[in-house]
Amino acid sequence: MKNILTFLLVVLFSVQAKAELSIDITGARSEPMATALPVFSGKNKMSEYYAKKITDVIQSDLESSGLFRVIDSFAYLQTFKNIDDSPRFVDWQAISAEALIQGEVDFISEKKINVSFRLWDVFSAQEMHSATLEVGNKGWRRVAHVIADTIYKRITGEEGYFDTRIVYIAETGSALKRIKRLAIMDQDGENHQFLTDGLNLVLTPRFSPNMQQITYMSYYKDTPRVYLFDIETGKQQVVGDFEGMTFAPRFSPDGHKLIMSMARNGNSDIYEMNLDTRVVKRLTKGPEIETSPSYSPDGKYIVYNSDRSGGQQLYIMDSNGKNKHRISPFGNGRYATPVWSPRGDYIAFTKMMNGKFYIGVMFPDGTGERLVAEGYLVEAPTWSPNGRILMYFRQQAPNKKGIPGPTKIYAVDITGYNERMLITPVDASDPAWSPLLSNH
Amino acid sequence: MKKLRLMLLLYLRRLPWLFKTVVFVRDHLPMSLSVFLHLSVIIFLTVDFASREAKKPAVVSVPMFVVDLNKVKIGDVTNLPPKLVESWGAKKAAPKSRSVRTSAYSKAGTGLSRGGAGFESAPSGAHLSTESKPIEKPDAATSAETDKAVAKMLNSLKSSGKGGADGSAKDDDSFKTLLASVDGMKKSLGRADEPPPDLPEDEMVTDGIEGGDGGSYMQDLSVSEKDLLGLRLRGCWNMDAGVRGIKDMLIEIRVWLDRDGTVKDVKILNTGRMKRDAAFKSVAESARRAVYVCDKKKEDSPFKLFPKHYKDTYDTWKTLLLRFNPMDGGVG
Repeated sequence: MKNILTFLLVVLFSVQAKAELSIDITGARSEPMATALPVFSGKNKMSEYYAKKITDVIQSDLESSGLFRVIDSFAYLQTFKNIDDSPRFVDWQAISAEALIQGEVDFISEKKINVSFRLWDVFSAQEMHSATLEVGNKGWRRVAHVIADTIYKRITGEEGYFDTRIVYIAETGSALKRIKRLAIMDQDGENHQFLTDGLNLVLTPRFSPNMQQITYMSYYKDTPRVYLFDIETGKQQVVGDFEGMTFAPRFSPDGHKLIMSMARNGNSDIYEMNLDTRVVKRLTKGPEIETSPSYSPDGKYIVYNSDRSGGQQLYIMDSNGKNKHRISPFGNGRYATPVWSPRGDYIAFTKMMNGKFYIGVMFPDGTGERLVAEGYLVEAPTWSPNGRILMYFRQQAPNKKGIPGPTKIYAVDITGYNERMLITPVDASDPAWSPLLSNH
Repeated sequence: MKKLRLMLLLYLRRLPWLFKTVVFVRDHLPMSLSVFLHLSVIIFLTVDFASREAKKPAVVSVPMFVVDLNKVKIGDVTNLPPKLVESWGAKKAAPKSRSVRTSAYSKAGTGLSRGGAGFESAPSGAHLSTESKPIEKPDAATSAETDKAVAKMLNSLKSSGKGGADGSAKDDDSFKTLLASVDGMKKSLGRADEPPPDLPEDEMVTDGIEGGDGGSYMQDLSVSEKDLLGLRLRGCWNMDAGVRGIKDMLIEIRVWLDRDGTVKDVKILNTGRMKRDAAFKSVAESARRAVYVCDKKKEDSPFKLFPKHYKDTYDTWKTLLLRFNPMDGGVG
């Protein structure tokens, strides 16, 4: 019976398809979406004060993504008195706004501020989203990030990343006596603070998926060791006491395991440590140098970097260490520091070719390689939690006196567009992006 | 019985070849039977007795139909090529070119006249060739009146007659018969002397004969026009190129158009995937937005192509199926 029904349906639809004029459209423009963001209305003086600040943060968040272009407010033909003013879509269409964000702030007390917003699809004249959020006066910045994330998610279909933080290595001092400290800030550079004092060298910080911990490598008594740092308490602890040096740590997607490299007798291999039981398991063997492991988001595979075929190349193995195979293409260049995208569709890497460094992405099967950034030294890619943006650091070439150029953190969309420099108080390297805060 | 046999033998005696044959058959009975059977089988197979019987009542004399092309009321639903109906001359030409097989369409027309007075014996093809003369003349083509055209034709014929040797009686006779036939034609067209009705431009348009499938003439939108539409829509489509899973997305959108080419309604057809896949939803909504953005361009809207060039075949473009494929060399 079911078969007959489906057959009938197929016949019906094929007849209909034949009778209808169909047109194929392949490819689209890819421009920032023209968005109208009038300053949120406020019910009193304090409300207006916060409304202005929140609107500014939302605007800078949206514009920083490269996917939105906020239209200059001088062009707006309608002003909203409150959130229930319905938009005159013709007026917004006239300035070619594709999306309209309408909002209102209601300051009730220091501890209670209500922020409401509506997102409109101007050309379809439909409301896409609306919400009201309640915060204390200290949380206004995060509320703005959350609203920006919501809008981003509704329009792009992917999780936002504005309500996130970044840890990085802040570098000060001369080239010979470099001081490297662990620092943390919001993804837009606000709320900056140093986490370590700089007495010990710190490298390769990574966020734990549960947001509470950062793992990194630090030199203590001239031995590099992997440490865990608790953000809330500020406590540090060594992860296991191994004979050799451990480096390049990274959390598993569930946060219960740590994967890292350990060098013993001049040979480095990949080890996995269960953080709950502290049991260590060796995943690679042999005389090759194997390092920079990174889990796939489902935790089933590990991408890493090995020199078993001569130069540094990328390999994938199952999480139990079996089934190793090379993915990086056979051609020019060496590949290092692979990082699996949180959404699973790409692997980011650093590529070295003809004396230059590149940041690129490829599909997990090794095809579709695309280089998104290049420079004298670009390294250490890290993914935004939604897998859309890559952050890395770039060092300029040394000047004629041989003094190394400044080091700064950059972010670029995986399409290779919209590269931006993050403003940090001092030189910065080795960024690591946190998961979305509002999910925790 | 004996008598009968005797009579037969006596009779056979008079025909010795028959007698011999009968004897021969009797002597070679199995072979004769076999030959007989073979022959009868061959005859049965080659001669189709059954259809000979059936065909007899099917032969019916069908009277000739002559279609008054000026009275054919033609509906919106059409199966005629849309391009042929742009000017009045062309409007007439469109059904004319087809009218040799008019009988197939005849039941759709409302004002059909059966067998015009002067044309009982004339084949319809000849009738049409007579009529086509005035249309070939440039000034006649602009006129909407058959009457004038006929008069002109007559004048031209008259002048040619005068220009001839002496205008002999024989010439005159043939001319009279021609006149008579033209009169007959006028009568048959039902507009012998009355002025042609002043129809509004819309109603004069003959955009095809009602009852057509309407589907097969879709292809009349040329490939390059389809490409043009696709390109113009692409210009309205702004989509985030970095969305996940862009590789295997195909958004199907149905658009309902008004007669003037404005968008009445837009519907995304992939509803199931819209619910499941947020990235797909975002791309699908961007595609829907593209339709609206194009529509809001007013006179520059790509959909205005239809009322401009295919005004008379509205039913072929009143709904469109747009297939948006985000994957292209330019993105992703």
